[in-house]
Amino acid sequence: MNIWNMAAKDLRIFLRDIPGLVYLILTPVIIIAIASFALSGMFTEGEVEQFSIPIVVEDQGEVTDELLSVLKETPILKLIDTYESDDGKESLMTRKEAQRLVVDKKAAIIIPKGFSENVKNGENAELIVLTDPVDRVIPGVVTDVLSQYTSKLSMANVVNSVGVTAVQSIVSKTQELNGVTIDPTNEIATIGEQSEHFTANPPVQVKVEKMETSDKARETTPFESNVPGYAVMFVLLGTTAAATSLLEERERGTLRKLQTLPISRLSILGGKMLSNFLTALFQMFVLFLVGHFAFGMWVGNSILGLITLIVATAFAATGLAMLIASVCKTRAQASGVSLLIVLSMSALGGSWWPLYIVPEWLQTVAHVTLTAWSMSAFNNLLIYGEGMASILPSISVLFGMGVVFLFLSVRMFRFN
Amino acid sequence: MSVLLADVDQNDEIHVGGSISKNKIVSATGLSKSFGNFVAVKSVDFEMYEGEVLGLLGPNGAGKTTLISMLSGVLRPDGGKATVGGHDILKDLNKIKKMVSLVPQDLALYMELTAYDNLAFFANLYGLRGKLKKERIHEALEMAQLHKYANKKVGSFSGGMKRRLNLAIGILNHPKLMLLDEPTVGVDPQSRNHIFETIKKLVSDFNMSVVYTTHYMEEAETLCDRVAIYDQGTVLDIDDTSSLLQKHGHKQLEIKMKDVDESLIEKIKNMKNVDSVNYIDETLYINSSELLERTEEVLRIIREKGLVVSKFNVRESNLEDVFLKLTGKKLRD
Repeated sequence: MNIWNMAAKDLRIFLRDIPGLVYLILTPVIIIAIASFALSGMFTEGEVEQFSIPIVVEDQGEVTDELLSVLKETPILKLIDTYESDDGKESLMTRKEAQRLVVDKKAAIIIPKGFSENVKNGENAELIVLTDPVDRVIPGVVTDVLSQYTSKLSMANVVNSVGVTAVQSIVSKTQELNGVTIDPTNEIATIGEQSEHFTANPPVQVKVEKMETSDKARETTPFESNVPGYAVMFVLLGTTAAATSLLEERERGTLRKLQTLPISRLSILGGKMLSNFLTALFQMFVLFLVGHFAFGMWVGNSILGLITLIVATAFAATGLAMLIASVCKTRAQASGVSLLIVLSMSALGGSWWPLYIVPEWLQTVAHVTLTAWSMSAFNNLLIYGEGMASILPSISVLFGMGVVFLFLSVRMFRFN
Repeated sequence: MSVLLADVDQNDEIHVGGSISKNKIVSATGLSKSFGNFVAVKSVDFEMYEGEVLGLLGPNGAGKTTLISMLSGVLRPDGGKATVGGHDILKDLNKIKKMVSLVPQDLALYMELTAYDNLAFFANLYGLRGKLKKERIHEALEMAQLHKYANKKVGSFSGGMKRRLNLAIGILNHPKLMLLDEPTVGVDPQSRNHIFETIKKLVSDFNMSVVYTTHYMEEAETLCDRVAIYDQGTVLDIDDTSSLLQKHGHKQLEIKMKDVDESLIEKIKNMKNVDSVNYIDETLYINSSELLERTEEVLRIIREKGLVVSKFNVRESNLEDVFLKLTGKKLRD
């Protein structure tokens, strides 16, 4: 009963703190929305975010025309081949203007004069990519697209050149030995046709097959990873902030008064834990409800699993927050420590990006954090649509962490 | 030096204030507490009785708060023994907590909550329920004269109102012993008077015993049946005010002048029946049981030294003088 009285007091204070409530709910919702909409192109197969790339066309010819049509059909690129000159007229893109635009656009393409001619003649031909050294992504994409096309051109040229040279050599030797005249035009034309055919249909190809790792009827959105990711992070921030109210009680003298009352010290700490736990639960449930109803986040195939996981995560977060409050001597100290721990755990544990993109050794290390256990279980539920059984190990670890953290916090907290 | 109240014959009623019984409410022997190398309370012995108001008079940092923290169960003593209401403070802490109330110097209030919510929270923790809880909250609000402000946030209260509420929380459980730690610090005269009246009423109506820590000698003189002169973790003497004055206070000669050196002080100290000589803030304080006889002699020495007296006064002694005599320093040093 005393634990509940202690918790009820904290909850009453919490509910009267309107700015605090706004921070607790509105801030994560805004961050989730920004992060999810910003990354929406990475998840959906619909409209792709395009890179606008200036292109300077100094050459005229068949190859250049074909290259331009290929580039225009590349979904990720949007070519800028004109610019507005000082007199307000629209002019064709120049090298000078392209060099100026690279600062903004990060890359530009130049098709130099004579490019088509050189390709046709089997001579060295170059395409130029201007890049901004501060960015690697956009120049990389542009270079890859051009490299794919120039590889095809090179292959066709090489096949043509080798084939024609071989035919001409045979024809020449045959004419010399037999004293006859041979016209290799048809063979050379066939070599040209064959090289074009194999350029268009390479005999060695990469075939991409989509595995049925997730619910086929559903398309994954950023919200399925961002809502749990940021919910876990903000719950950790929220609980650590709430737990420091224990230090506040010590600083403002109420903790001393509480110790004179006929209640145990365990009741005082238990009350703090309970109020923190209920606050964390409230925050997580609200964020998941907003995620579902406002952003259309899928809640998986196991509601029971999701609820259990939310409870386990809130419990572990409460334990960690209490431990931080027990180890630190002042609120300022606790705020600094909790910020360091929570942000590190969020980065390491997969709140901000999927854990599978980090090095394998780091994935192993990450599992010392509650965030990693929580996020891997949320991914199982919300991205792969798995059931309760797949998250049982994570839930056990989270409850285990919570118990250990709370035990240590009770042992380590100094009342005076 | 520790002084036992055992000087008082336990078969006798003590009549200070007229309602003190012979039943002991607190008994402490050799009570000690250290924080690292700092000794906050040094082997304190004292006793107090039901219905008594005992003042702990000492400067800031004397160890008063540490002493009452041990009696209320906040701190565990390093040595010695103490009982409150017959219960050992180490063994029967929970029983003691039910009969004791500490009103801390720091305001133990939740500023975000209303006065009523604060009282209700502490009432719940005292185990009060239902009608009794409501009655006690009502009584506390009445006593603190905060009925009109019951539903206002404490953060919006004046310093005096907060102090009154702090005290009101302390009476919720109708304690047998109240430990008031500097309850008038930072309050206006009106609230101070209100707090005094409340304490007097608690003692007369509920026969509560009160330990009142203060560094204001006027408060100790006004409120307390007995006063313990307390400094550096030690009770230097404990008695009713008049006895303390009789024992340690004499009429005091105050001579304001500059450039007093050690040789002058030594000369005066060596005079017959001079109890103490202190030179503080360019004023020489001389205590003697034969002050009138000594005055002429003192003035003669001053004249011989060629010193100029800017102010001369003979006055009745008070607890400040007692403290000065026992510790060699002023209460607010």
